[in-house]
Amino acid sequence: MSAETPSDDAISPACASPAPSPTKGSRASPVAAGAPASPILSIERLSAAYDGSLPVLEDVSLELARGELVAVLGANGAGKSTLLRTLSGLLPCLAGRIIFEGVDITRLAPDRRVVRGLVQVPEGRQMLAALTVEENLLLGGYVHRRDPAGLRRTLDEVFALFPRLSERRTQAAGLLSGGEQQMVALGRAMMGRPRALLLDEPSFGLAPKVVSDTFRVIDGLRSSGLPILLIEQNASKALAVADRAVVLRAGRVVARGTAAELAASEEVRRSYLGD
Amino acid sequence: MSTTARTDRIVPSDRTSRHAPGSRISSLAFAAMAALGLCSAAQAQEPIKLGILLTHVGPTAIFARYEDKGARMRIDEVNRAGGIKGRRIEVIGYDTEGKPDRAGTLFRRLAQEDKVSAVIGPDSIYVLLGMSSVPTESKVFSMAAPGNYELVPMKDRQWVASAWTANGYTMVLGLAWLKDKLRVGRVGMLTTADSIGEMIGREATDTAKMLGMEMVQVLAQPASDRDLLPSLTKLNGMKPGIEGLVVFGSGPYGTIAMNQTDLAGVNVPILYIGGNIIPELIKDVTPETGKRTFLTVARNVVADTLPASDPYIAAAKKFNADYQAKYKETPTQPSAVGYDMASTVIDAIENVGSDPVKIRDYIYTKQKDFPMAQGIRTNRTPSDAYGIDPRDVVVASIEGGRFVFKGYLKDSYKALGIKDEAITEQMRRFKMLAD
Amino acid sequence: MAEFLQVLFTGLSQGGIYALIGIGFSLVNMSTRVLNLAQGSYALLGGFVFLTLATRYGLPLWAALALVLVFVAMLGVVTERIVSLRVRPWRPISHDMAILTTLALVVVAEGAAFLIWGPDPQRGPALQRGVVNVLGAILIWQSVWMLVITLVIAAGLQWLLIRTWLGRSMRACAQNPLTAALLGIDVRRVGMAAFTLSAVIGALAGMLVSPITWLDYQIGGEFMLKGVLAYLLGGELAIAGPLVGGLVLGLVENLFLLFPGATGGLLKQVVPMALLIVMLVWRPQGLLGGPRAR
Ligand SMILES: Nc1ncnc2c1ncn2[C@@H]1O[C@H](COP(=O)(O)OP(=O)(O)OP(=O)(O)O)[C@@H](O)[C@H]1O
Ligand SMILES: [Mg+2]
Repeated sequence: MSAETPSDDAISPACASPAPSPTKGSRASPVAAGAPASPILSIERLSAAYDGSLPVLEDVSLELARGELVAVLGANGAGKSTLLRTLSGLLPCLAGRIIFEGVDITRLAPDRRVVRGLVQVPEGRQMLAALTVEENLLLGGYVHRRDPAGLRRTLDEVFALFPRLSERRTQAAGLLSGGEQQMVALGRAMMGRPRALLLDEPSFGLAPKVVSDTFRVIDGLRSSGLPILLIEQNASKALAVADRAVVLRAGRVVARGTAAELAASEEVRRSYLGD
Repeated sequence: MSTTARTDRIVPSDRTSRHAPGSRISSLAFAAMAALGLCSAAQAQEPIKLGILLTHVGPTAIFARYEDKGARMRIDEVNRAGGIKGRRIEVIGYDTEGKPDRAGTLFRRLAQEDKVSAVIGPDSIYVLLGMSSVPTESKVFSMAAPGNYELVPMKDRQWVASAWTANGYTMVLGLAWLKDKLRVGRVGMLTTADSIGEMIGREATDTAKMLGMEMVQVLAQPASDRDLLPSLTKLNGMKPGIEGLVVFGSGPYGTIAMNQTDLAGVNVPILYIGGNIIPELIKDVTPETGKRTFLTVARNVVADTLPASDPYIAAAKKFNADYQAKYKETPTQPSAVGYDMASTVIDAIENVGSDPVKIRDYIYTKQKDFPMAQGIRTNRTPSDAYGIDPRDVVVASIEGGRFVFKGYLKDSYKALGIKDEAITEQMRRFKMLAD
Repeated sequence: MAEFLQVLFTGLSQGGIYALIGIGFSLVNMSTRVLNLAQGSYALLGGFVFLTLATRYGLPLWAALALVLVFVAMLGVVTERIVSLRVRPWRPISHDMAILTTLALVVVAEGAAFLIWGPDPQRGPALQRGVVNVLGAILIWQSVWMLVITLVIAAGLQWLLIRTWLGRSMRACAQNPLTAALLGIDVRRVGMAAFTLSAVIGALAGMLVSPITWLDYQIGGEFMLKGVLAYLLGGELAIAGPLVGGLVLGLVENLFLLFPGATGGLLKQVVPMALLIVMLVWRPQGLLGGPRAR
């Protein structure tokens, strides 16, 4: 095991630059929104940008407690996927910290974060199209490759959860339907035995029936105690399963609260629930 | 060897005089005069400039290395003897890098900016063909060494001559030796699949016809090929079988072709054409193959095994000894060619001065029976820029990693009753002579 | 009959080398999406270092082989570093820049080889000297070994790609490097492994052919050309594509030598390029490749 910097009072040198001043929406302290005291993932005043562009995320703070499902809502281009990319280490952060299970992972390489149990299901499902379903799933367990027996067990569990995938295990993943691909994407993430799951728009491009099935699976995972950060444009579905939610606009948190509070909020209803 | 003792006394006088003890004294005196400021006529002592334009990269670089050494050796001799009428020779050397346009540009620079009296080079035919009009246009003589001068356009030949005697054609004439001494009648040929390989193929076919031999088939593989068994197996399958084989191709291609004849079962005499007349390129020829391989070479290459009665043995041996002493390496045919390129130009300057036009006129009209370190005499005329009798080379084979004298090409021609006119006529046909 | 067999043998042995170089292209291209033109330069440098160690310094062949493989593996790593020095996950590699960079490396390798080993062709020791006569055609033992080793390497790589985690992760990177990273795969390490592996394969090719074809400082470019041709001809199918492409190329090239007279040799030089153009127009995915999916 690599020795990580103790989290709580260590400040990552890369992110030591002063964060921009907080804006109206994020002024409320995270604790005030009802987050428990010891979160599994805490995002502290995070800013991020693509090469040379203006910051796409600015001063985002968010906490995910154990067993909790937090939804991140926002319009196209609000920076939702960017937030997940930064959490997974595909994009470096300009300022702020990411603490996962008490460890500062702000500067960790993407693969090291997966090893620690922070697993993402990316936008658009991202099948390894030419590889078989089984190979896709196995690669989800790449970080546990030294434990083949455990891997087999997890694979059986995934097949039990998605019997359809078992039937199609030798088929190229690229030839599956959208719903089946979503199953592979979720199953592949499960193979990594995540300690927290980041889901980027699981409903994207799926038929309503399949969306409902997917959300049932997500709800099931939450019930089994897996903390989930869920990104969605389909706000009503998301708020139906979420404990809490935040709303991103232009890279900043503009609203936050329990799922019920946000579902009741005029502004959220108008902008994201299509009322 | 008894021949060595004899030749030491019959070294041509024009060469030895430059090594006489007196010359060193005169050059010392000259240096002292210069140091004391006694050289009043400053312009008169201005150095004579000669350009050396050779190809130091690519597959032919190995030849240029020897040519460069040979040429500089001749120039050093002159300078150590006090120069030409008190004027030292200054060398300006450039590398064509095997690129014709670069060679053209460098030649112009030598002529116009460096103001050289003549240029030694270029050596490679590929380079020369791409720039052969430049010497004519800049009115500076190019003492080149293309193995296939016949490819140079007629209009450019007035300002370009070749110092390379053992060119493709003279080598092809080795067929006469095969017929005369080894009674070879049916021959096959393996050449390179490019324009020069094809031209040599035509020359060999034509020569075979002139000699009353039958060229059964000419096969070609790309010069980059190293597995020549497909062609050799095919030649081996000819019915009735071939009695001799002509191989053209320089570098590994040639060596490999010779060696693989053993494998393919083509155990017939080989006439090798292609200029691998340097130790590096024959060291891999197997002894069995070497013994039945014949090539035509300059005399200096086989000086040790020449008959003592050879008319040019002295010049060849003298060159070899001097070269060996200077560079501590075995002299090769290109070493002698380099020396001869420089000699030809220097002889002209000694006689008519450093004016480029006069140098050219002298070489083409007055320089008669000029002795070459290759062991040959040259008589260039405006229609014949080689200036050598192609039958004047000798035949050698490869034994113990070296070239060994086997006979004179002239004798075989005499024995076969080939007329001078037939040769001249053939040279005209191949554009080696201008009409 | 003997004539035909001879062309077959020659074609297969040349094709085997084209295949090895092509496989190197394939490994790197599938893992990093970079067409590493320096592939032939590993053969050049590996072959030259080997023959120098074995003939000039008289090292036992296995020791020379080991040193060369270590040396060339480092070259592979260096290439990867240079090519992807400024690449980040959110900014994928620029293919034009990468290819130009590897082209520059070809020139550097050529220059270095010229300075170190000079202009003369050289060759290294053979695994087994001599020939065997098969129905009137000649089979050079070194060619036999060359082909055998090529097939063994191809089979080994196929096994690696299908059965091992390194192979699976290479295929994952081929499909989608970002996803691979999200699965916990260290994409750069995989790229480096691919470069190292391909460099080692290139060097093996160089060492194997040098007793037959000799090496000179310019041969890296020739290998590169034939390897790319094999790779494009066979298709992107990781190992089978370039393997088949290389063998087909070698056979087709040499079949032309069956033409009478000097025509065959001329055709042999022109036809491979013509073949490539025909392929790119009629079957751009190569002989074995499925529809080219990106
Ligand atoms: N690779 C990239 N390079 C530069 N800018 C990018 C890149 N990816 C996204 N952006 C920009 O960052 C901003 C946020 O994009 P992001 O993908 O995070 O939005 P999103 O909230 O996920 O939107 P959507 O709902 O459409 O998925 C956008 O303005 C987008 O143009
Ligand atoms: Mg998005």
